[in-house]
Amino acid sequence: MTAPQHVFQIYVRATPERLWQAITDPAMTQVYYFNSRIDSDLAVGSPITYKQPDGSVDIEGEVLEADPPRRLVHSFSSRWAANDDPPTTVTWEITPMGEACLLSVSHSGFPGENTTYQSVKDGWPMILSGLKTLVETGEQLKIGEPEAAEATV
Amino acid sequence: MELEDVFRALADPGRRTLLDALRERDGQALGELDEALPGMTRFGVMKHLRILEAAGLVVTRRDGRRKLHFLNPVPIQLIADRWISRYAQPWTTAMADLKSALEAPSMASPRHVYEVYIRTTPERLWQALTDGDLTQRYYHDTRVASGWQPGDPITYTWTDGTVTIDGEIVEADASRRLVHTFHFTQDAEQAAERPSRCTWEIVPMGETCLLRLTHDNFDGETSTYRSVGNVKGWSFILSGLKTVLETGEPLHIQEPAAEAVGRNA
Repeated sequence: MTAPQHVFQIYVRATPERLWQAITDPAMTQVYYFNSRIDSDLAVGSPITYKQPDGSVDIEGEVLEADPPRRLVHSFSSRWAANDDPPTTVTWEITPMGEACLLSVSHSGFPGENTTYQSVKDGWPMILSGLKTLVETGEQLKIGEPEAAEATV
Repeated sequence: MELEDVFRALADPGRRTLLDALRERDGQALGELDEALPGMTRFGVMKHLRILEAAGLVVTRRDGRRKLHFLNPVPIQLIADRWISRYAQPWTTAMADLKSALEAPSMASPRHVYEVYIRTTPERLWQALTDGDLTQRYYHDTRVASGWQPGDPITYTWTDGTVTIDGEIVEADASRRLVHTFHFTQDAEQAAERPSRCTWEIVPMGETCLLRLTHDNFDGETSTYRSVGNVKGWSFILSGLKTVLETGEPLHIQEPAAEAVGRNA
């Protein structure tokens, strides 16, 4: 059985440079990444963190590869909830395709379907949808609570 | 897990029906499973599912706010090993059900699940899925057409009249849920494959909707399964749909050199 991983692909109407900025600029991540601001100098071996505006840390990791505006690889330890899960790896890849780019995010290195695996599974589609809306329309995608009708299913 | 619990769980015909329903299609939510037992209240179905879960015959996993149920054939295998191969008795009806359950691909059956959040209303999203003028803007230039009643044909057609996908409506609940079979005709290998199934679910979340597409019911990792999962498949269609709804403009992409995208394919 292969180790579980998540792979998400989304096309965004943007240049690779604009997309790279959306991924690495704290003012932009705050709009779509659960209010979290990225903090890193993006040098290989440097720390990378995602922090709430009040300074509390959501994610800690280390930059493993940074090739602007094409590829960013960092380790990922969730700090938003207590867990003993080992660090995982997030790979962002930007492939230019005419007036749009393919953004591919893979999240790998899970030893099994642990707490982190389960909790990021629903999170990534929200993050990537919000990133696309921000870059294409300049606005924040506001995701509300699901309406009650389906909550019993 | 006690075998006693397993036998007791299997003694009830309603619970066996639920196992059959999961064998037919693994990973169902309560709202889908209670269709398997139309004479029973949802509370009754929940009670039976809890007994199956306690016996280890069903395992659950949360998917967003939904709790999905999966068949776990291991306890049945233990019974088969202990009570069937050893005595080589004639199979009872219950055991025949069990054998089918064991042979089912269950959790290994491949599927694609995509989730995308779109700033739009459920009605507008439904229109985008069911109006040929709109599908043409994001669905590989094809127009959808259907009467939208269960049993009606559904087709996606190029402007020159070539039907690229044909299928049948299984369920259509306007602005909420669309289920149809999917059969791609423009490739010899895929045309020879049995139709698969697409389930589109719309969940309103404030000013945004979650659109969840589940493409399943493949006979293994077929050519269709691989093709819709590649970079020009559902990822492209759903990205284009979101762009059309949020910006009013279609998303155009141009293929890069093959080696550049090979890594992502």
